[in-house]
Amino acid sequence: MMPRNPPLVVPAKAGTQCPAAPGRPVVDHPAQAATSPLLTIEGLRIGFPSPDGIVLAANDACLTVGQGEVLGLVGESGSGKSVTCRAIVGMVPHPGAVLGGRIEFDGRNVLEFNRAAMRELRAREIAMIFQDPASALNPVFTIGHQISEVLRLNAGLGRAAARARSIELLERVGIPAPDRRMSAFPHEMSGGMRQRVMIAMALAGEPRLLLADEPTTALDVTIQDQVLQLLEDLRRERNMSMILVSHDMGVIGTAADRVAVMYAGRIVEVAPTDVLFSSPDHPYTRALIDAMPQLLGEDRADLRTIPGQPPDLLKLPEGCPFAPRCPLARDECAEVSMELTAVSPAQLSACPFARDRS
Amino acid sequence: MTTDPAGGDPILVVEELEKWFAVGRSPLEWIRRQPRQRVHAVDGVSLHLLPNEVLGIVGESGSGKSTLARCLVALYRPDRGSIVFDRVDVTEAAGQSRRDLHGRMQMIYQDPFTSLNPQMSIGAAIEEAGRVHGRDGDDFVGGLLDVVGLPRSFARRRPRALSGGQRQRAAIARALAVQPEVLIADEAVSALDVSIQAQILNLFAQLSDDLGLAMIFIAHDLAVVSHVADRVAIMYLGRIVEEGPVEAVFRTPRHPYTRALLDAHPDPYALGAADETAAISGDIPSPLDIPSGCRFRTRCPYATDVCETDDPVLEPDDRPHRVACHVLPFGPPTEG
Repeated sequence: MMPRNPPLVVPAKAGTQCPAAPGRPVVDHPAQAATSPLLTIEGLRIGFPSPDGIVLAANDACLTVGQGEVLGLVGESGSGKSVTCRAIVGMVPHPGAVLGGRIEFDGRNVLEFNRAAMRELRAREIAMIFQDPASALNPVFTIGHQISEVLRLNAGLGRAAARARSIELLERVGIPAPDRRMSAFPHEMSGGMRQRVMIAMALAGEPRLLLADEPTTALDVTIQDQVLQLLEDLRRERNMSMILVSHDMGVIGTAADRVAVMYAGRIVEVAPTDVLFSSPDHPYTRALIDAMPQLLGEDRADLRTIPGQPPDLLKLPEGCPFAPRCPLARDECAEVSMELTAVSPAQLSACPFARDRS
Repeated sequence: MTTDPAGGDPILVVEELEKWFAVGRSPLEWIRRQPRQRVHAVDGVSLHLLPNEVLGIVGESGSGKSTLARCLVALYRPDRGSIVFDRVDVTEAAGQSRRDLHGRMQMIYQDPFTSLNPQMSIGAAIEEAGRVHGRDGDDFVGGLLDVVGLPRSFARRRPRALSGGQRQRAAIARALAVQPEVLIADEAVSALDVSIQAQILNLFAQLSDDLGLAMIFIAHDLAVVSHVADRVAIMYLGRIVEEGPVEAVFRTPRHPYTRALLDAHPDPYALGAADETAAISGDIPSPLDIPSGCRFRTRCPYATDVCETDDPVLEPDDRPHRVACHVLPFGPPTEG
């Protein structure tokens, strides 16, 4: 218990600014997934108590993920991308809590699930893989034991059937000599192999949505390429949806169909990947892209940087949180509602001023 | 060693450098008196650095790039080969000569959270480094903070009050306190967010341009290296497999490994272009069990019989763009 912290109560906010607010026909909206959404997040607010007040790690976050779609969620550290992802499977780390909003998966509000329903959801419908497979696997059990366990508990398979299915799964994720690898311990495998094992475990429940939180950040670039390729193959093969969380614009740009950019707990722009990279709208998205060093870009020409530091979530300015670092900032930014509005048929942006710059 | 007509004599020359580490034995191996295995972390690396040049070193984990960096600043004693810094043999340096060396070569680490003393204010950390070499005072500290773009008031702060990017700036200021001639940056921007990474990369470019510092810039990210480096060396399992001007190596790679690295580099603007080339398969072999012949052959799509038996050597250094490969599947170098 943390008596020093204020209770987690946040004053109710007047109507969330979701383009996909309840009542509105979801599919009509331009930045919705092309297919009917499997997952819809509306006005999600996640708070963490701190001695100085509540930190809103996600603030009115709205997202949709279509059937078979890869949604990239990109942002710098502290932008709220991981915690948003974890909220979907009820895994917001203590002492944080979801303070409001809806997370609708296949027509059901996940936030209303009790423990058993959530467990069922994680077992059969939504799986998650993490950045560091070394700490997500149990070091004292063999790979085979850990995958079989998932299959026996979730799919009700017997010992032999679970073993056979585990070998199949390991084979599918590209582990050489899977039957021999069944008796290997996590420490006997390389980082790339461990991540493949994690993916095999995630696939064990035949999930419809895979949450991949920085799945390749700890891997070397050639291995990263292999793992991203594997995820892409599996997605196509199973028509599985995916949320790919990454801080790396390069990874997002090559692996996602649509991208949501987060800053200070808010989604500031959503667009199909090619649109986002060819004509970003929000000044933060532009700045992120400009700050990416390009392979053989202009020779040591200064990279355009974003001035200042990422914001302190406790001291966010009124209105747009990016305003203090924004090259286009003006007085009205303090009153801007951060509502995502359509810029073009497929693109939503939270900045009302970016368009009338030129 | 070659001399570059423009840059003069190299300031740092490394020849046939080897560094290995003994691996612990299990009790059974000990009873059986099996010899200790050795990991050859750096296995015959030769390179040189010209004054005012930025040499990038690229490699995946286990390629030995960090071990190489630590040998260069005499944190490790190499087992074979030589490192000559301005006619002083680094490997033999001890006592005063070693201290002098540290005044001329400085290293910057990946994690500014652990490389700064948490008990010491930024100013004190910088001043301590400077005092060893006879420089101190508020103006001295303030001047360095100006150079790295931190407000002078930060001198009184502890590292915990700084963000990651600010800490890395402070670590750079501390390295500059001894007025080094060579800066060795080991994954110095890898832990930083994109927006901050760009700021620090610009700072490095500015240090090289304005102060004329020579730099060895180690990173796994090709785009980062291509941004700051003039010349680049690609390492794989303790060896340099390709070396040359950044432009030549990244535009017309000659080694299959360099090509694979470039293909695997996620670049959203290369949409559809690189996807057809087969990603190299398999994992990096264990440095305990390095393949015979060419060490890349186990993952190389072009490997032939000769790759299995003969260890390819890096081409002679009278060429600007050198490669260690028997097959050379992409033809001769493009000169220019």
